[in-house]
Amino acid sequence: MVRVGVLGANGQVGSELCLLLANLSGIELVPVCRTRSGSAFLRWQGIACRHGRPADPAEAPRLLGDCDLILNLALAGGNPAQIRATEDQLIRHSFEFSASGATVVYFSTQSVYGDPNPGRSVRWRNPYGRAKRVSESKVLASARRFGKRAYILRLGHVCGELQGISLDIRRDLARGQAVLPAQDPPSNTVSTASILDAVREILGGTVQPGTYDLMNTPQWTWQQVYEYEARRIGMEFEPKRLPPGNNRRRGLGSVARRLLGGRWNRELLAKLLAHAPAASSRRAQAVWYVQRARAEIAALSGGAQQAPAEHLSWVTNGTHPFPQRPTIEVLSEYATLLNSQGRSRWPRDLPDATRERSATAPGLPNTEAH
Amino acid sequence: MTEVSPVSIGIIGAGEITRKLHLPVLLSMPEVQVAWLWDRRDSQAEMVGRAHHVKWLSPAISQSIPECDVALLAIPIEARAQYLDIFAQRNTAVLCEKPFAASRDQHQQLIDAFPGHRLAAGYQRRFHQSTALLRRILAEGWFGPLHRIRLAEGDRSRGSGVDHSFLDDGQGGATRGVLFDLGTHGVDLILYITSATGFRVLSSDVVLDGRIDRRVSARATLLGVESAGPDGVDLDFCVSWLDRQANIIELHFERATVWCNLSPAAEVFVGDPARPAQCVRVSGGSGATTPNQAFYLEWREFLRGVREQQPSMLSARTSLLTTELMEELLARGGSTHG
Repeated sequence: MVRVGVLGANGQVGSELCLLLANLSGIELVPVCRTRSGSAFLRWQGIACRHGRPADPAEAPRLLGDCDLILNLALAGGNPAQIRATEDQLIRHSFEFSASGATVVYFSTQSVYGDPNPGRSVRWRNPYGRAKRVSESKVLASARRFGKRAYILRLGHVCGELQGISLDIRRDLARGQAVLPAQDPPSNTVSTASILDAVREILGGTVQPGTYDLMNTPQWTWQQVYEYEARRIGMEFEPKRLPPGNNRRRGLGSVARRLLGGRWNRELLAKLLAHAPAASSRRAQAVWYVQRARAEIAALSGGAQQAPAEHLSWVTNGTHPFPQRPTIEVLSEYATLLNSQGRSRWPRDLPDATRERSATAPGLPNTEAH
Repeated sequence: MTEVSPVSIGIIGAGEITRKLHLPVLLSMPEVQVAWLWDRRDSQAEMVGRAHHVKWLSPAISQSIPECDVALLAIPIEARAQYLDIFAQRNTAVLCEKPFAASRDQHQQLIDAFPGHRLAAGYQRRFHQSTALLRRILAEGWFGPLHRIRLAEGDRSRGSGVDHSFLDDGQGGATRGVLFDLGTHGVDLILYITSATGFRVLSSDVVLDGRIDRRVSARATLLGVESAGPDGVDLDFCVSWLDRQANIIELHFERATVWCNLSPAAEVFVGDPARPAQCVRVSGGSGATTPNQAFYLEWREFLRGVREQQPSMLSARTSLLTTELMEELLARGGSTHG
């Protein structure tokens, strides 16, 4: 039995991954959540959790100490300085306090490749991509320092039954508002089933540690994504296409961006503030909140225009693909895993980790879904 | 032209709602001056105060809160009593964050202690553009009598983004549950749009996690709705932190169904919500389409009421039925633990 600890278990991707993992045999799932209100959905689905702050060195051992595999899906919140500090702690603790011989999977983002908007001669990273890039290097450094295996999986847009982008696409389809660009661009999407499959490959030891792009295989176009989501809600999808040259987003967002002094200025500021004293970081965030309030109050007399979905304009990446099976095959195999049958609601919390547990090299004895 | 001195605002509670919405909006309003900020957590008050360049008070001052024209109470219900007593004695106007009270009796006691224009509940959805339009459609009888309302809101719980949440304080009981934290908006929205004067709860199912409700689904009849028949308006209500809801309000009239989602930027449609592509969009009216705009309009309206000594549309007297219905839904709830 492999014990799998999940950081960020009640986040958007974490929740769905936990539901999928909970239905695989050979895995003992350890979702880690900071608050009971945050874990309510998982517990209602019959998945027991551990509660505490894995970023706190006093709490991390009891939360992670018996885990053979750590899936780090946590997304730190707060101002840039707080985010940086929390990310650093989570990365360090997932190596330092997990079972000896454990493997750590750090979920990163395609944003590390830089600005996703098309037509940029230089693809500057946004603050999120920049922070994740820094975290990736810390993951590799921690892996060397603590002698544990590390995988970095760079996710694109994650699609799945609980994922916001899938639900947005389905809503637009139902309303007849789904519009695609003139040409069908490849997407950076990855299904939660593909993420699960990657975790199984890692547990099976068939893939070498390293940094990988994790996207659908072969890469799906946006039309394929929309067609798939349409099928999931029992619809036929006949794409409406924007005329060429009409793919730019308009409306209140762009007005607000101009009012707020330009996106690049903000991002440069965020970059500087991530390493600035906490008080400066908090002050900058406060100024931003006030500027946003002023811009929105000023816009009360104006109106917003319809805009095509933002994700459709993103450029594609994909330089180090994670070796895996075709996504359509994986989706079919895991189609029935998202259910909570056989689990009692509101289980007791999982007991704290005990440090005596002898860790073995992770392996998945039986990966049959049950 | 006479220059009017700004209204001084004192803020009690430096949590997320204050930091992200109230303070940014108040600091954008030239007619107000944020005089001070207080929180029982000294470091929190200092952090938020420093970041926004607002004077913060140390916790020791809680017994001797400085004077201000208007106070914002952005703290949990059970922590408000001592401040409300002080402000009632001083004739200071108070805007309370939602939910306003834990019971009808508590709500009544509070509104008895203040003139109508000096005490308000922060039900900011009343200022959404879609709310104004729904209210108008109902009041002007566009589609005949109203027969039924359905409101379904919520989603599975997600990353809280914080190490500690007041929602995890079990001592708060019902006020920490989904009905009082999230459902209160929907309940108030329904009662505000319909101007109902009473209700009958027919059934209520409450899913409890320990003492805290995580999902409430109920059926009720709204009474006293002018544009409805004598039997009232059927209400189907659901709010959840456990499963994804449609996040929609539907008004079923005799001749058409009108619906919109529950976000500030919601658009209003006429037609079958199950076939949204075939629905007709209704536009018109003014109001907020973002949270900042809603909070701005809320403050502007409340301050107008204070200035003119007229109850505003946020007056706590206008939300007594909201508290009463929530209390009844929990009391009548056939509670289940799963």
